[in-house]
Amino acid sequence: MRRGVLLLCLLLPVTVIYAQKITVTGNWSVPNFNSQKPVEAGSDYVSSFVESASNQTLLNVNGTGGVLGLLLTGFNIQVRQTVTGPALPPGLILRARRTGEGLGYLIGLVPLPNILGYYTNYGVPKNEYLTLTSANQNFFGFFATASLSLGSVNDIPIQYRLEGLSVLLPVNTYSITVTYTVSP
Amino acid sequence: MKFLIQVIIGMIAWNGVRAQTTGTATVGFTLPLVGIIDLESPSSKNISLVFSNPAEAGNAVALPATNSFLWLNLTSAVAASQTRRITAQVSGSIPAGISINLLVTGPSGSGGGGSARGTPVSAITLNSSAQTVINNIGGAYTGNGVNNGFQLNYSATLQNYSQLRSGSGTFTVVYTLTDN
Repeated sequence: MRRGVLLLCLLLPVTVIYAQKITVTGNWSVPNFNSQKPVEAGSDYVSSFVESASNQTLLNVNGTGGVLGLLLTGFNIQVRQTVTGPALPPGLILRARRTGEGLGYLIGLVPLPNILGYYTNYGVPKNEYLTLTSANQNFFGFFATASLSLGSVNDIPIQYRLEGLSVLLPVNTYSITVTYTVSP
Repeated sequence: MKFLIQVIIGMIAWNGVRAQTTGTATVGFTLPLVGIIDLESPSSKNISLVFSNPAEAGNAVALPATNSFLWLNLTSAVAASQTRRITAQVSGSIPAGISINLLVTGPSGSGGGGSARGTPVSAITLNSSAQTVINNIGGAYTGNGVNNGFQLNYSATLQNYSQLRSGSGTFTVVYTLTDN
């Protein structure tokens, strides 16, 4: 009986800890290219890139993460792009960066119950752009120094940058789905 | 043994809820059509073609030298299968007895798009109808200013001596970028 209770105590958190959830809000519909379009005959685009608002997309991550026996636990966010409709012409690339830390908490459970906060020095540093590809890439993570962690980090701001604008590119309507994946 | 089975069941439950979760955002944009042309010159965009009196009675009127001061710059963005052309036509009246000819050469200078900058056609005699002078323009830009793009070479010839009158005439050559 005592062994059964002990086992239950061990298994309950284990069952819960890998329930991550990510909520993504905020699409980016580039309104026009009035600030980038050529204004002088003979010239290309005035600017070869356009940026979204610094918080165009907000990520909310909650749940728990970690692996028993490790001292560094948390969430890892990966990102990839899927082009729907016409293929992107060569030279036209979409980049994304995290412009802030978000708000929230991460609680380390083991070895001792404690609140350590979190840090994000994993993956691409804040304010540095990552060029998106069709393959998942490590974007960033939230970590606590514990074996198990749980918590919630909300309103992580993401900014996009579309690069390679030129009149040489075919006029068309393009759509890109950016997929964020959270894992422990 | 029973304890071991419980551990195994627990581990299965653990793996069962380990699935990653995802969320998506959409980025959408439309690259716009662009079509801009202008003329560039080291000085004025108005040119003069002046016939000279012969120095000797019985000789023909001397023709003006070809004027190549003007350059046509263009920027064009089109859909993948679309092309454009540039036409030239006269607005106003060319003095009687005179032909004004236009030869477009190039493109040259800086710019991008290679052959999509367009191809000049053969020399034309200008009149009030729109005639193609550059064709097969795609997504391209010629570079800005003189020595970039297409050079416009104007010349004048005498078409009918009997219609020649002294004086001067002024007319405008209109260039238009249009879709094919």
